[in-house]
Amino acid sequence: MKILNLEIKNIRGIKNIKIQPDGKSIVVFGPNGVGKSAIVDAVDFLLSGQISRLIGEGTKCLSLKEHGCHVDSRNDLKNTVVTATVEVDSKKIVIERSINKPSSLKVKPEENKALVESYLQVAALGQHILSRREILKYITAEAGKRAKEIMSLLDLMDIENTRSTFVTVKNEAETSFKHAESNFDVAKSEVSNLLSLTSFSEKGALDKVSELREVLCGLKIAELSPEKIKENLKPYPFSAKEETLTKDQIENTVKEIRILVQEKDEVTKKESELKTLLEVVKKEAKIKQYSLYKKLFEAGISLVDKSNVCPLCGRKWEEGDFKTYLDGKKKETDIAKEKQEKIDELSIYIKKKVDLFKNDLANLVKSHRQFKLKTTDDKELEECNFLLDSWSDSMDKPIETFEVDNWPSSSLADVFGVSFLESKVLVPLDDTLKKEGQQLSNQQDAWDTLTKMEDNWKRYKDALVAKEESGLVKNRAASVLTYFEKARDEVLESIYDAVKDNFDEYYRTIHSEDEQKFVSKISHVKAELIFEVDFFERGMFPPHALHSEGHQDSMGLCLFFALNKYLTKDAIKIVILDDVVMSIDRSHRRAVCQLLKKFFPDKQLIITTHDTAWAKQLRTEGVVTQKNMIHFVNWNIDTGPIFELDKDLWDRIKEDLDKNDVPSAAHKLRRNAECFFENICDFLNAKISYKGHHQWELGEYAPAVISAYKEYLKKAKSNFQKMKQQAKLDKLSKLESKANDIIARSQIEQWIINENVHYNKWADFSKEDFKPVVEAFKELFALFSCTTCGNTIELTHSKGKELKTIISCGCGEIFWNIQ
Amino acid sequence: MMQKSVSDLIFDKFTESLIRDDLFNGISAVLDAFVRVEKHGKIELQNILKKKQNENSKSGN
Repeated sequence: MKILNLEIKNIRGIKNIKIQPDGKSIVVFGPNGVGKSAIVDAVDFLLSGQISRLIGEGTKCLSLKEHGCHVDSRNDLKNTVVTATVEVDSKKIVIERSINKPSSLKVKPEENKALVESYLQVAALGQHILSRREILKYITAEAGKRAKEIMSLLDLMDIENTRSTFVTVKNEAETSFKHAESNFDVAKSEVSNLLSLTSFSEKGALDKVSELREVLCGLKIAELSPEKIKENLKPYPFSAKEETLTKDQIENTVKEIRILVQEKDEVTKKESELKTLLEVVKKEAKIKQYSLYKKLFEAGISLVDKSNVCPLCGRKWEEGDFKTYLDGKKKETDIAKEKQEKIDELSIYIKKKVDLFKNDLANLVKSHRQFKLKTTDDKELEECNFLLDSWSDSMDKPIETFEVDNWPSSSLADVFGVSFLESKVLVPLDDTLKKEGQQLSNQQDAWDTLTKMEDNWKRYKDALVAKEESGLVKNRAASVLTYFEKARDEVLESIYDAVKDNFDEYYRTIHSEDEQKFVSKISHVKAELIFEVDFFERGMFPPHALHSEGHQDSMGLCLFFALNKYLTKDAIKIVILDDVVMSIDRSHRRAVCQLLKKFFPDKQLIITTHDTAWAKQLRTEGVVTQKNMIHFVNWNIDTGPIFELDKDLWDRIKEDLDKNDVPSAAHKLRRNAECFFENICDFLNAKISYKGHHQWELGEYAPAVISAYKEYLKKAKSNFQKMKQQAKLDKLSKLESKANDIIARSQIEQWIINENVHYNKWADFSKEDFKPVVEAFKELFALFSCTTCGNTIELTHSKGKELKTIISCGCGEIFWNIQ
Repeated sequence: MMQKSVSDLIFDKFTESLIRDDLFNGISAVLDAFVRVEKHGKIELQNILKKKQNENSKSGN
């Protein structure tokens, strides 16, 4: 897509402007504050429906409708319009956008709407525009911020949301699995206690059940299931009620609760560790946010859509701001990740012990009722159970419970060391079991144990299934995240490699003289994008660590073009460069021109600058033509910019002479000639006497250039003669003769010896005397340019087996070997 | 000028890995569809991950 003509009405500082680039590059130049950037904004708005300058960091108080139009058009938005005829797929299409309805693009003929919109989707990434303000954002940015910028360019914010959901689900799956594992351990313990197994195994349980079945004259069974445990057994006549416990079960429970009591110190230690961590979390606001709001932020990020409306309060946020806010908050919460994991580990351990204790105590109370013992105090038991419940519940959400001061009133040392347990619960049971235990027949005991086992085995199996299911979800959630991050990293690395290769090549083109071996490294590490560059083969460093500001500007420009090439895939030919070479010196700006011509000959560049020398350099280097140089001279609020298409120098001089204004014509010729010969001096490596104050003038530039030109011409002729290329020799001889005539007429060589013909006297010439000088200079200027490509000639050194010194133009029409 | 977006390239690679892993037999297609939609619900993802391996064989791989 290229712009053939453009009309801008009431956008930013512009009232009404029509320009006709014809699909070619343009340069808009002029002093500060004359409305140059409004052209950039208008094209940006036409292509993307927004103005980059009005979005992003620090622009919260700015809006397109209020600040995108001319200040006097805020109440007449229908007349804030950008219209362009563009060329898309060889079709001429008119597109138009108004600030009144920025999302609506008018396309004529309408049948091309889909085609235009498919192109403009690429423009929506915003990678067609580079401003001075943005040029360093990839260079000096922190790695995390740079990654965000690049991810935003690559339209990857949704990818980050998906990853965030995967992280949340993985973390929750891990916690669920830990709980399922804890429940499974309790279920195993119940089976072990019931069957008096020293260590739990399904085989051990099966063997024990078979043993008990044999006591009841039953057959062994091959597998355990609640249905098979008492299958084909004759019901024992005095079977115990379901809620009663067997002797072994009671004995084992007594044994287990005593072990738990012995572990009191270890549990208390864990409690203390947990409490210390929770104190830190409570005091540190950011950690608290992580702990309390982590899930909220993650859920929020996954719910933010393009409408930018908060799903909780319904508030409409400025584009991008809401998600940025949530991302920032979530990032803050990440600092407490380690603490959160430790809290989870400790709380799960405590919960498991508390649940076992609670379960055992409940079974022992049941045994007391079974034996009709009356040693326990209901109030004491109630208080103890309340504490156990309180601890168990608190361990499900320790941070939330601690935060609202709902922590259990007694420590675990008090709970596990409860005084009545030994004297009122365990000792009476020991005594009773000794007395009553013998009364239970083996058969009765076996029958009762199997009855209990039916229930316990079911609970064990359910806990096992829950644990396995939870384990499957945990493993899947972990793998999903791993695969997703791996896919993201592989794709991004391949993109970064491609971008890096282009970036390196572009940068080496600009800095061919001093950094020919320059390389960079772009890599993606977690949420950060690491960007490092070689510094004169002394190692890799951040781009803004050791390189000068000018070099950093070059890097920003090259990275922009490398990303632009990848992202726009040549769909959008338009590239806007808004005042971007300010820190780059003159010779490197020339290299920038070469970069633009070599790598982007087909792009339509829209370049703005306040530097007239740079604008003219773009023309002399052949990046833009004279016709497409737009000179913004002045600006006022009522008319907008006052501009002129930069006229040809000779036309302007002629206008002065027609008005008999020789001093003005002389001034123009001198000023432009000085600038012209300074450039040619540089291009031809012409020798000038050194001056400490670094200021030379036309009287030094021009003779040096003429002298160098003559010398090169002579050498080129000599080489053609040696190579017996008579036709080329004849052509150069003819050129030499013509050049000598022009040089003589320009009187440059007489300046030193004859004061009366010196250019300082031009202003005193009569019109008739000055006209031949102008003609001679016009022809003189032309001597240094190619008539085919329009580029000025230049001295270069060719690479290859044989080092050659060459004078050439851009297209090769002029090619003199002067070695 | 139609081309795959960077997101699509990532999703394609992600799905390739899922298909190769037996852990995702029967749910890889659902997961692939899940990542490609604009909004991603946590509960929805949890439900997908809970699916038994043969539960989704009709729509699966």
